[in-house]
Amino acid sequence: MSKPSINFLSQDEIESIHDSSLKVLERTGVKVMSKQALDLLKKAGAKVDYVNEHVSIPKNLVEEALEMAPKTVKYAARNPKYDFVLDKKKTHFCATANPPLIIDGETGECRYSTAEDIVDCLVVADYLNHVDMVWPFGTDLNVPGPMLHILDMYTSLLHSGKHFEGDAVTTAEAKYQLEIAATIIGGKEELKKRPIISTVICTISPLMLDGGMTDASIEYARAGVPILINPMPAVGQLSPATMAGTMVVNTVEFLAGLVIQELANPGAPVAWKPSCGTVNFKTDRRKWSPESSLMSLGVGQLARRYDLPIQRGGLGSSSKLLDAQTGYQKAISLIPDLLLTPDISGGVATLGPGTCLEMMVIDNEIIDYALRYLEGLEVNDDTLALDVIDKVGPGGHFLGEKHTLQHFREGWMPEITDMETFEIWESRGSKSIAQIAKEKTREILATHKVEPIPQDIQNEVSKILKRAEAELL
Amino acid sequence: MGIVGDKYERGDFFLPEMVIAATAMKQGLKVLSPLLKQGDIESAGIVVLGTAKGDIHDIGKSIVGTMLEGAGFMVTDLGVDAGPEKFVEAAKEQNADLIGISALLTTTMTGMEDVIKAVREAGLKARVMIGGASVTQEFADKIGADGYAPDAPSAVGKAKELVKN
Repeated sequence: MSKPSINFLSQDEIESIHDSSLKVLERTGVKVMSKQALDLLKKAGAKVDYVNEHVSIPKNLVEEALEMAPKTVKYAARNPKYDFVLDKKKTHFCATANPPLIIDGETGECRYSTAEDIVDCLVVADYLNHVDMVWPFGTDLNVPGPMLHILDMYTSLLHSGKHFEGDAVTTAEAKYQLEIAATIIGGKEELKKRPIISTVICTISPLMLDGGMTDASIEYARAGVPILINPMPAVGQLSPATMAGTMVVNTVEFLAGLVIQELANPGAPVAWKPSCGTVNFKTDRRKWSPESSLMSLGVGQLARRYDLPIQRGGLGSSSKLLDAQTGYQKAISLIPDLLLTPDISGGVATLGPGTCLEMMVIDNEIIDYALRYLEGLEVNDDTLALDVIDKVGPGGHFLGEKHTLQHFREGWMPEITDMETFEIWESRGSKSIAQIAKEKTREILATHKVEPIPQDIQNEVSKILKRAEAELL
Repeated sequence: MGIVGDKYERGDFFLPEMVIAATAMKQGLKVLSPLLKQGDIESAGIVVLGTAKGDIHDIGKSIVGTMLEGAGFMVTDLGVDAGPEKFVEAAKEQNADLIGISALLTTTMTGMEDVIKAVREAGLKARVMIGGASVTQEFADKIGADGYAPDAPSAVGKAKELVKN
């Protein structure tokens, strides 16, 4: 099969971004707000200023870290049939949701999510064939702050059998998350072999690594559970007003985080989750743009150069309605990204500022189209089909040919996309895609059952949660 | 700054121009104020700003601070990870008209209510306004904040409104 692919930055341009990042790491340095991490860096030979929490990281530490970091990373799931490996061969999709808002795709109602909404989203995510992993779908604002990340994780693991990617902002949160995940999967060693969770560390652009998140991720590194380093600079706001400069800032923060993780535990599984953003210079808020897409692709090439797993880009949107804007934003955000096979792509279930259940079903369809597109096509004697062309000759048709019977099922068929005539569409109720998606979610929620976590394990986890509450609240 | 504000409203100027202008204004005032008699410059109001406890994101708050200063407010910036006591103490010390709390994370926005409670309990005159990525008008109403603004430019307008009453 010949697959479509994309050319973008030249090797020289990629090297230039890499070299620039090394220069910044050494000359400008980064602020690392974690004593533990500063100690690791100092011990390894970096120049550390404890008072200002500032470190200058030399080139050799970066090269060693790039050498040590595993080139493929396993992502497991509570239901083992949803395990997968980040190995550059295939893109996996993440429902990256937008807590705490939830938007009804049919009515447009926007409100804070409830515990029930979160469960519904998890059940639908568990069902959909192109949702490979989940984030927290909502935020239950009744849950006290210090327990939120722990409960987000447990709720997701309870109601869906798929991999959970979350976050932890303190060492304590990380420890409890790891303990709960280990309890569910059968122990610490098993969790290392089959990590059913991973954690995202957001850096603070420009050039700062948050103390709590860095400490939390060191716990994950030591447990052998995957960490994603997520720099989020934005052109002209948290990084230079040029895309290449923004990509440099992103790379610098990633490499700094990578060095720390590999020093904490050589061979720690680390992936890059670059979010190079753009802002609306009127409101200072992040905005959807072609530039974000370009930077995503460019950083994707850099990740290839490092031979490391990457989560980037995906189905972005900013409309508050399930409308034409959402449609075009999602589709044109996704496909260019996928041409360079990111290991993970996100945005599933997001609708502008919120999460949307109906959107998840539609995203699943967009991905389905994209995956078929990416498969490409085959040129060989059979597909050139000279014999059957000659047989049918001028005029006639191919519908009854054996060759057609052998091949026609290879064509893409949509699950929910309407392509009928006006009359047929009208006779079926003149439904919008939002209505169709709503019906699909209702059907899924009525019929799909997620394999529960055994009660004895749930009891064990309850004990851990009580301990967590006693310590953290 | 009035001209700059008009140009911003009309869509000729954007935040980079606003921030540079406000910064220049602030530097200019630093030079001028010792040369002017007391009472010649009337500040638009006294503001204490900070990012909520547990949160270390500050760019939104910093831009609000810069623009408030550009609009003639006197701003004390408490920085990040500021707890209720810090806000109350600074507001008392500065005799603040307005307290502004910022939070990016959903886990720290709940701490904003603690600040409001502490401010009311201390009997301070200061109004409290909030902002941040996860914050909404609905949330502001729920926790009893006096005001909310979705971005830095509108925060200045809201601040002026709150200080007037």
